Amino acid sequence: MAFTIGIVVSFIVYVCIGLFLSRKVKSSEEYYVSGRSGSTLMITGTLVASFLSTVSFMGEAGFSYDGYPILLLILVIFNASGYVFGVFLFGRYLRRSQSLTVPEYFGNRFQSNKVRMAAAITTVFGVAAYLVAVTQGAAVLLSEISGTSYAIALLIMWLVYSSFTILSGARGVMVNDTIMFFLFSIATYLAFPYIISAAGGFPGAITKAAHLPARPDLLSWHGITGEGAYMGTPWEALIWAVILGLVWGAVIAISPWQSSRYLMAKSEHVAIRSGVWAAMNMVPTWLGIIIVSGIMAAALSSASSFLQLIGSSITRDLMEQSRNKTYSDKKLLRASRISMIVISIIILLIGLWQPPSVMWIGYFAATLFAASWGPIAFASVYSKTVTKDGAFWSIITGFLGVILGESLKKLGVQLPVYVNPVIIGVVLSTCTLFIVSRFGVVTDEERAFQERILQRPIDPNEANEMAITRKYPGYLMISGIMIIAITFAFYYWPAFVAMP
Amino acid sequence: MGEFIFSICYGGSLIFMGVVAWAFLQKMEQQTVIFLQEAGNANRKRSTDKKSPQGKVGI
Repeated sequence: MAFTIGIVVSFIVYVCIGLFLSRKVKSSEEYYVSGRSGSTLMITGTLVASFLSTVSFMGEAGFSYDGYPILLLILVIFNASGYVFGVFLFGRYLRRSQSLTVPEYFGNRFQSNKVRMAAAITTVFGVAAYLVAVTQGAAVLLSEISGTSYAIALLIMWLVYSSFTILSGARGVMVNDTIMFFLFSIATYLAFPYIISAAGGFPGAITKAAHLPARPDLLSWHGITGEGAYMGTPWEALIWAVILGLVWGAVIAISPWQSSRYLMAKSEHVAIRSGVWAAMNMVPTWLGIIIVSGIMAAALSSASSFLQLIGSSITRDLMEQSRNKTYSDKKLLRASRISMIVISIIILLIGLWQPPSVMWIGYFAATLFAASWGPIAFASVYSKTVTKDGAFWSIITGFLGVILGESLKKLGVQLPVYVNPVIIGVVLSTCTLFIVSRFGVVTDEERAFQERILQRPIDPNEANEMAITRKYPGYLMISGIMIIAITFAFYYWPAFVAMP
Repeated sequence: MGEFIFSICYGGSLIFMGVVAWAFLQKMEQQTVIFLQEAGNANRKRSTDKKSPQGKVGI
């Protein structure tokens, strides 16, 4: 009962914030990128909150419960690096473009509506699939906690995130994301000692878990062996974790629900600090995610970000471009809200009709972006030879490559661990980008846009801003040293050194 | 052995990322200094032109 009351109160708070902030939204820039006024705390909050979702808290926590907790953390080592590499290699250039959406950036960079619309369609398709997975995961959890039916729980979740997102757009999403980020971070740290204590205290609980006869090798680096193991040999499991870790790193670096956060940053320094802080937060939080809750907040924050992205892509990148006209600010706001209402109803119906499959849909949808956007995102900044046709076909083949790989798996074809569907997509997308670009010409407009984003705007207060930004790598290194000490004290020593 | 390496690498990845971020910032700062010096020199040469520098730096 206490859990249900807590969840209901938090839902009311989120909706009230949405209602309050909706009065302050006067322009499309406010609605799409929160007036580009995000502080370091807000951008970090929304980066982490929109990434952690029910896919992480339920799908991946389920994977670790199956017997692979350390393998999951090995994956995190690689995916967290996506924040640092993402902001330095792509995010800050995206911010300089002053676009309102990521597809708009691709369209402007390649001076092509076709590229923009291909990026927008992949956004709508991929993010909508991810939104279905997150909403279903949250509804399953809510129905378990409150005792209501799955359908009612789904309806409640949908009402909450749709209402504040449609009303207040990016501004409400950013504020609520930051609140939710604090909520599940605090929940993680507070619950950790209680769970250890309930499991038999420290170091007994860890030592016991490492040597459970029913689950041999549970805390070894490769996960359980014997009955119930499904990840192949230890080396196959490791290769899987490294490949998926790198893929998720690319998702963090370029996916629309992560990179678009940099468009809301107040300055380039704020974007860089947020990327570094998010990486710093990611690694310790994941230690707790394996066992801890905070899931409802994570689900809502991701769902609201996804819905906002879909709405802005449909209105700004598809409706305006396909009709070849520019809407007034007022009309754009109204069209965005209407498209979000329609999409959210479709998501609700799919959630009701389709059985929940949180991890599979989540992984499928998210990795689509690594394949279809990854190569052109980095090439759009660094390559002087890629053309609009190369970019367009790269998006299409990357997208189709993942679908082809997943279809083969569904048909029962056993693919080796290093031929993951996303790898097929990335290889196809990269090859297509460079082969098609060889037969085209880069226009002066494309070159001029690329040169513009390669110019860093100097902040009027550059020396002070740089002095603050320079402290962040130091914080990152200090937290790394602390994590090594914690991992030794709470994992390696009790599990493998202080054996009874 | 694998567990020992994991214990080092989990936190070690943050130290590595910190070094990478530090290197990027170092490069940004060097480019800013060079740009401001060049802009200053150009301004001195064109003493009659009192326009301020563009306010942008490469990469």
